[in-house]
Amino acid sequence: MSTDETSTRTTPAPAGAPEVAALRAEVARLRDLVGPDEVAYVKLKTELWAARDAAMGAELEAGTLRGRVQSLESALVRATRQSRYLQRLAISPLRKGKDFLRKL
Amino acid sequence: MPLFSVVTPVYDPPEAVLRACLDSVRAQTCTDWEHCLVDDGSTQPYVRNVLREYAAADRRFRVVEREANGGIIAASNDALGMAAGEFVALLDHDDLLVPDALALVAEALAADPTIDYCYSDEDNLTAQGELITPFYKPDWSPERFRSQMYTCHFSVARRSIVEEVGRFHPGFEGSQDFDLILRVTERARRVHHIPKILYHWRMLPTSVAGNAAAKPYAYESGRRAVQAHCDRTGLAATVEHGRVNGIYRVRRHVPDPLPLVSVIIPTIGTSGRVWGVERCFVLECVRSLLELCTYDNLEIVVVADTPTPAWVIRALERVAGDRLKVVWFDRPFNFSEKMNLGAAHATGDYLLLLNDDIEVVSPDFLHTMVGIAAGEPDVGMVGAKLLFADGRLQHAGHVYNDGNPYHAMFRFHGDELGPSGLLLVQRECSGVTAACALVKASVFDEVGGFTPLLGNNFNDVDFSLKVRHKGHRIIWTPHAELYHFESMSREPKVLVPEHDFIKLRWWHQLNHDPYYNPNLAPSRDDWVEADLA
Repeated sequence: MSTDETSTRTTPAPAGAPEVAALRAEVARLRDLVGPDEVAYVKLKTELWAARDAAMGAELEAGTLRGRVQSLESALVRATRQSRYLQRLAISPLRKGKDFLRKL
Repeated sequence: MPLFSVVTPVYDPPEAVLRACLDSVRAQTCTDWEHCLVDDGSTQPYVRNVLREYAAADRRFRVVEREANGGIIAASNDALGMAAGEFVALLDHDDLLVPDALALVAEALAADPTIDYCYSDEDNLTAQGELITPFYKPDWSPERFRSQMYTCHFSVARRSIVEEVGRFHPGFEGSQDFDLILRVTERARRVHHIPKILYHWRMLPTSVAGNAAAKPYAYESGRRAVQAHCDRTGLAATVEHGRVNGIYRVRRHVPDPLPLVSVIIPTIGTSGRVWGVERCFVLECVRSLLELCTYDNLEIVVVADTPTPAWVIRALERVAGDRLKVVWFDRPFNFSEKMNLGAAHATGDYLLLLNDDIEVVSPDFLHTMVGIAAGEPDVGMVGAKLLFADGRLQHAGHVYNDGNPYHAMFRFHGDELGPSGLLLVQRECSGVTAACALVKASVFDEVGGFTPLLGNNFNDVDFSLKVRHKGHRIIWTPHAELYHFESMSREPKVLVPEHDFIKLRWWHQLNHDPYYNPNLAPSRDDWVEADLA
């Protein structure tokens, strides 16, 4: 493509048969994509929907994982709080014993 | 101090479990109680012996022995027949009361003599003696109670009301307490919640706490109990089983003909990419309303800022036709003013406040919301379950905690059940987002709409609190689902003066959310318990 462009710019060729044929092929390709043929339009729309569904599916999958992370984060906070509480419960009698021994 | 009659039908509990239950009653710091025990023809001989032993040692244990097993309802009614106290406390034969349970109830009753029914928080006791899964409950939430028997065991009711409603009714085996409490609360002047764990629910393989499938018949009884409640109270609804056992959906019947709903959508016609495809938000919002939503008596009021592109309006006209009203807004952006302007042009009995970056998920969402709002005169506003584009929760009702408003369970997955089924039940809440809320037009007028002083943030918090201040209930429903494509990468910009304003105006309400619980951690929205003392 870039080679063609360069050659077009440097040596403009007269509108010959091969170029016309190439342009016609390009027009046919574009028509196939967007119409006025309704079948092509429907095909394009279907492709768009499929792409949208794929993107939506991927995003929902990611959302499931992100949601799971959020639940785990919450569970971690809960567990940390409980562990702190249990530590305090365990340490409290030890401290009391230590204080008692110190007073002796 | 009133006399409490603790009512317990007994049928073949393990001996140690029964003794623990009786000991927990005997250890009450409040001494004005009697324990009415009915042995429902237990097959294990130790049951009778243990009951006789306790009755001999303390005359406050009163025991009746049935000749044959008559079932839990007959035994419970016999126990109620023995009761002489002003209040009856329902307790299962395997539950444990904490020592000051009755004292705290007595204290609450002394503070407010109009209390007719009282319940507390709870946790579960495992076979290994561990206390797990605390359930920190909301204050009285009748809508949630219809969806879930959340007050559970150990609840205290005025005996005169229990007698008035005819004690336990046969036919509700397994959910007999749910049926009774529904009937009691229909007549109660005041229902009180003590935000403390006053009993431990033992997880035995034969109890629902230990095994949700232990009593499959209980769930159908529960559904029938709620249906009977709706029929008694004139609530036109059909009660269905929810996604999990023990959760019910009260599907309200919508009025016929359908009332006109004015959908108010503020917009500036922006576009953005959702699921990889560029869309004009307001256009897709209106398209989804008209193509997906099954409610057809709609008026669409689009409040458009003047820079809204003309092609957007033309496209809206093509999509919505005669149902569209475009109202131009030519002042600097102010969400509240835009909504008030839209409401002034609306002619419907109900206003659906809707952001333009919304897309319908449940086709019947508006039937659900209108049904709830129309079903009871004191419901002022109804909120919906909003999901981000990736299926996570954007909105499941507001939580006002530690002086700040939050979205409940924000960014959890949309399919989560939530703590104690929170995300599956229709419930009262302190506020809902105006991104999607149905409000009665009369209530909107009564509270004077949105305050223009909050042009960007917290206008829905203020609006919700005004609605509740006027005595209306706000209901959040998980059965109305919509997408809300609010930016997830960008943290919402909060203006300090607006934050100060809302805190000043609603300080008490933002620190005391009746549908949260003081035992839960401050500055959180996920029902994590506060630090244990």
